[in-house]
Amino acid sequence: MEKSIEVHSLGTQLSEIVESAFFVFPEICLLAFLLLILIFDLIFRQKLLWLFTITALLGLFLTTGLLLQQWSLTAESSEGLSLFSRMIQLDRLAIYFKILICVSAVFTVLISVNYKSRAGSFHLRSVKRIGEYYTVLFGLLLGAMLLSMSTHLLIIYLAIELISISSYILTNFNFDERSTEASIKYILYGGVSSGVMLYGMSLLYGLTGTLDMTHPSFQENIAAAPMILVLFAGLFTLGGFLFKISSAPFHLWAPDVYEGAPTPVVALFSVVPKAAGFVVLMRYTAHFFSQVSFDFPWQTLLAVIAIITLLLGNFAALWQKNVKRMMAYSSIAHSGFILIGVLSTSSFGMLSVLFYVSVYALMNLAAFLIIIMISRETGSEEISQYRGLGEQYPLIGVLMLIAMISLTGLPPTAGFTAKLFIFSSLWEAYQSSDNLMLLLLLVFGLFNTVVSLFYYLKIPYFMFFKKSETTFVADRFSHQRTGRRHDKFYLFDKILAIVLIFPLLILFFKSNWLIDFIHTIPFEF
Amino acid sequence: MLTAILSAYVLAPFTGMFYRKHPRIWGYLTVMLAAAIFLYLATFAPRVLEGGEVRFSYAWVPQLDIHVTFFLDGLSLFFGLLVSGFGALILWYATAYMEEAHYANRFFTYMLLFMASMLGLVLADHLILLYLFWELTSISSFLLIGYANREAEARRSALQALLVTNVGGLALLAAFLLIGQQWDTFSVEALLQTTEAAGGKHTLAIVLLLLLAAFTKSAQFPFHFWLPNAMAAPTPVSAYLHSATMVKAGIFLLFRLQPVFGDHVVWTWGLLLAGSITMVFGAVMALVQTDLKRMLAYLTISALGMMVGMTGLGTEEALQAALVYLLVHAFYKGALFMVAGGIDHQTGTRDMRLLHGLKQAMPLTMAGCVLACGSMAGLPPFFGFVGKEMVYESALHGQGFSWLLLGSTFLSSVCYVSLGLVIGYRLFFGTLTRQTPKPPTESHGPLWGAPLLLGAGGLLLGVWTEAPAYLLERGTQLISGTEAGLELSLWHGLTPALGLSLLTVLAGWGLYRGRDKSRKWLAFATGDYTLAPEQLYVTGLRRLRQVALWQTRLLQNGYLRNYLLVIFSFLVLAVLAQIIHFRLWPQALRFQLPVTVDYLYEWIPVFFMVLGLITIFGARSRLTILIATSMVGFGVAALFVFFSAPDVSMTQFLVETITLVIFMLILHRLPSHIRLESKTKFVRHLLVAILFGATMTLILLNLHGYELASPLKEYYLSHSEEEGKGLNVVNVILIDFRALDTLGEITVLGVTAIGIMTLVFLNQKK
Repeated sequence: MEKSIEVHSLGTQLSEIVESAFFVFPEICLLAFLLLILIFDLIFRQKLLWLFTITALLGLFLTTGLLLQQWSLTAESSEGLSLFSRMIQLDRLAIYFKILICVSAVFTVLISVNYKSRAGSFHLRSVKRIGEYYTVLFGLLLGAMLLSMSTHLLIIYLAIELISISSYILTNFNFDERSTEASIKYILYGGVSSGVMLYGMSLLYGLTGTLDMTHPSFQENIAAAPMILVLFAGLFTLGGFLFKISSAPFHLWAPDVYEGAPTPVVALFSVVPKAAGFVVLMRYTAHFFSQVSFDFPWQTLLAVIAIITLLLGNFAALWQKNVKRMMAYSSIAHSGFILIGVLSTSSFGMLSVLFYVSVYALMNLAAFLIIIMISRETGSEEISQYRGLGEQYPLIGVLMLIAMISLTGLPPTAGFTAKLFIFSSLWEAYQSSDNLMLLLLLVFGLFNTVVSLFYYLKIPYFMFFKKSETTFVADRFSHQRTGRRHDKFYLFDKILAIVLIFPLLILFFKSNWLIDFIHTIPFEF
Repeated sequence: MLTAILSAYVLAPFTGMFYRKHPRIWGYLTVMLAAAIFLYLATFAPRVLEGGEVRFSYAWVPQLDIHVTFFLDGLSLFFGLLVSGFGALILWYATAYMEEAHYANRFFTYMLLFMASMLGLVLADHLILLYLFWELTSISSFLLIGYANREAEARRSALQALLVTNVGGLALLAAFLLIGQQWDTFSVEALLQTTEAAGGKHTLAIVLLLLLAAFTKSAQFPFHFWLPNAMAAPTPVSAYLHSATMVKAGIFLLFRLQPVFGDHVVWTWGLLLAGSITMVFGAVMALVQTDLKRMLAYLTISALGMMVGMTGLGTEEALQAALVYLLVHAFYKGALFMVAGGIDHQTGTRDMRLLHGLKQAMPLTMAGCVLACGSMAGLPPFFGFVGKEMVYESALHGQGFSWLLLGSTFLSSVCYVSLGLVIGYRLFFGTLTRQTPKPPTESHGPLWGAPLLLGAGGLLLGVWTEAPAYLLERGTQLISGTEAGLELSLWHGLTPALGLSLLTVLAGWGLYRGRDKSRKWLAFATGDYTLAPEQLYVTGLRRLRQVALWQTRLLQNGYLRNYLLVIFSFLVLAVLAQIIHFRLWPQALRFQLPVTVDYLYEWIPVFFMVLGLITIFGARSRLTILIATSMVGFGVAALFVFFSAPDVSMTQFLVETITLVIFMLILHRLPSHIRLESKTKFVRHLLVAILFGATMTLILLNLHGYELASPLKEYYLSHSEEEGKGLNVVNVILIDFRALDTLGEITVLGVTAIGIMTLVFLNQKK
């Protein structure tokens, strides 16, 4: 147990920090823009609202540009850089997810532009809190980017908390009762999950004497520690990650939060924290689960969690009448699918996770954008209000149809390709391990794909096959009288929707374009 | 080849978009496309029918070695020609039939989608690709059945068809995955060439799953009920999907895999039994129907049963008969459906009780109908006769229980003859009907042209048997896995089969004469029974939704306390499961460090903690509970003081205080009433709480006996005096080694204090 400790002098530590800082330019850029927006908020309060959006977009574009540069600078097979005394791991996996996060954020901002909440309290064109909105949003992004790079438990905790606290605030941005309730539930639930995770982490620290998961002594000590303690510690730590990816049984916050929070924020929640959560889960699986020496059935454990997640998510979604609540359960179910890829622990499994997450981001953002457009039109988020919209607005109807088909995982969309990869990787894992639970997972996964068909296709079904209601017809007449064409959708939104939906089709036919990218990421299995 | 399939997919949305502007042009464009595909496939005929094979491979995701591969042999070519040829004919028919329909554009879109999917299905080489197209045909069929989307009935039927076929689809996927594992290949071609006998450990499961898939798709008993309901679709759809193509997909699957599984006992028996039951059941049910289309639907079910049963018989002769009858059936059933559509279109009804004597009004329709009925009834010199003779022959020559098949074939054939008379004779002869919604007039163009073409085709093939023999020979060889030639002829000489045919016709005529009596009797006998499998489906669907609702209410009821309950229960359960799995009973625990209490006053905090706990249980107001909880917290903090951990104690005190203050601030905003509604809930919460507490205690006790690895500890202990110049290690750590950390901690506390101050003042302002 005798370990030598390297104690660096303050000087070398500071110089290492300065050196490391060069490698986190994208994050620094993001932080700078966060501060810039904060200052703008003080100067231009309630004035020049467009300036904030422009600045936010500029910041995100710049960050994405820096990330792309980072990507091109890292070698394909390099193991990545350890920065800040091994606090942060910068590798292609992290950069890929950071790019994904930033791109999603760009779309979130674009989606927010024309969003208006039910009571009209949240509308980026008029709200005085626009500065705060972007500040908190950037905080969340910063946390997510940090989380994708972290292999150090302390940083993981800090990043998760940064995401969480930003999320709590963003949830309340509708400023109505429902929003507040959701926010409070989120805080309390998040607090408990964090507590559980922290407990697990402190045990891990106690057992290994280090918080750095990549440190050799971490892995040696884990192997040497008594089984029961490792089990507890591992399980509790896992809880926090499950919370972030909204997987069972830590998923319960999602429906309330999704329903209460402003829709663009929900779109963001369903993508960014989840993506970041999955990176850290992948790293955790690689560094912790795969390292425990004894016969810890973590694959079975994750398989059980995935099965429960799939079942709970899909079956609860069947009954939902509110489209946002339905999407919440859908996102829970998708977590189950992605978990399948994570527990496959092969490079193919990781590849399928990355592909799935990317496609998932696209289709979720697209679906939420259309939900926003339609709820502005009908003033409601009930699925029954979608009656007959497909006939009135064929373009929107078709786009929604493609998004839903992709979410279900049917051809000819990328959603199908993603599911195909995930299931293939599971099949491979089953064949190499012969774990019966994995076969069961496969069966449940396929079964759930069919179940999901019901609620996803319910939306296009309402849009195309059901007659529009009388109130709606009256509305149409009133417009005819005024002689205006009854189409309140902004051209901007339409173009945005097409931009989001189109890749779903492209990636079905040419999935190798994205695969080429992902293939250059070295996985640690 | 990919271009051929994709072209239909590509044309589909454009037709949907532009059809309304130029209905004629776009309608005929679809016909041309189908015809072009037919001709394209026909160019391969010489090569393939000689026994050759053509492969088309396209890279899709080359990095993962995923390719799209199609392959063409005698069987797939035959089905491909059937799909595209009938497709062209029916699209042509539809240009007239759908003229006045709303959303005709959607109709053509869906039809093209379906045709492309069906082509993909029969041509796919990779099993997963085949599965994909299989599901796509289900989906496009769903869209087509639900075409009259304003009618609840159509929507319900569409969903039913989708669900039933989807269950089969899943079974198919499972079967394919197992095949992939057992034979280590997903290629149809490789599978067919495998010499390995079907004796692996998964074979039984594969066979059962495949049967389920084929039976749902081909509407075999007891999964037949979706097909009659699917008659809600426009008639061209029924003619195409539900007689010539989609329902044949199941048969295609059976044919395709017959060489691999043909010897398996479950396979042969399953097919034989299901086929026989379905055959008779469908024919009898058809007798009772009054709706022309439903009657035809049941006849289709029956004919499919015949093919399935023949496949189950498995002899070379039987397999030949099955394939020949498939072609026979496609011709006459397609024609009859189109006739039904034409009559419906011109008179506005399909009710057999209202329709009779249409001869004068619709002579051309009649011609097509009579020709088709002749083939259906199996009269010479129609192609139907050739088919029927072959079926009888093979049933007569079969081994074992082939008498079952023979009996059911005979029974159903009698019904066919009788129904042939009903449709082909009574519909047109006799006095002209006056009860139809629209006065009957002759339809125009394709409405009579297409069925007449098919009917005449049935006659032609019967006379010129060399043509079908040439086309089908290679296909039958592939199914049976032999090199036997196929000979078709009208005249086989005076065989028992001929006598049987004669008997059939006579019995059928008798049944027709006594139809009113027999119908009454049959209607009584089949009355409630027919709905049984469908009832099961309806109940099952309802149950599924109930389970979903129950599950949601249980877990997601909006109460935060329940959410917490779920989390804690999960953690306890997961830990318990691990403990049981690894048999980590307490003897594995280590209690090495005994806790000694030196002074009595050290018990004081413990006393306060216990007091706090007891108070919590009795308390009714939030304030009391809050204070009691803090008492426990402060007690813990005090304990740390006694056990020489002042820094930890200090932190604990601060945290407790801050928590208390924040709680107090929001306390008055919360309702004071906090009792749980019922005793059971209280007990449930208590149980989970105790279990969670016990788990944590277990962990802590275990931890207690374990020397935690901490190289830092030794470092600090050994370096504290020489580098920090202090004997109190804790002090040295706080102010020397970790001075910066301490600074940070102080800052954080300061910031928190400012935050709380703000909150307090904010409150006062309001």
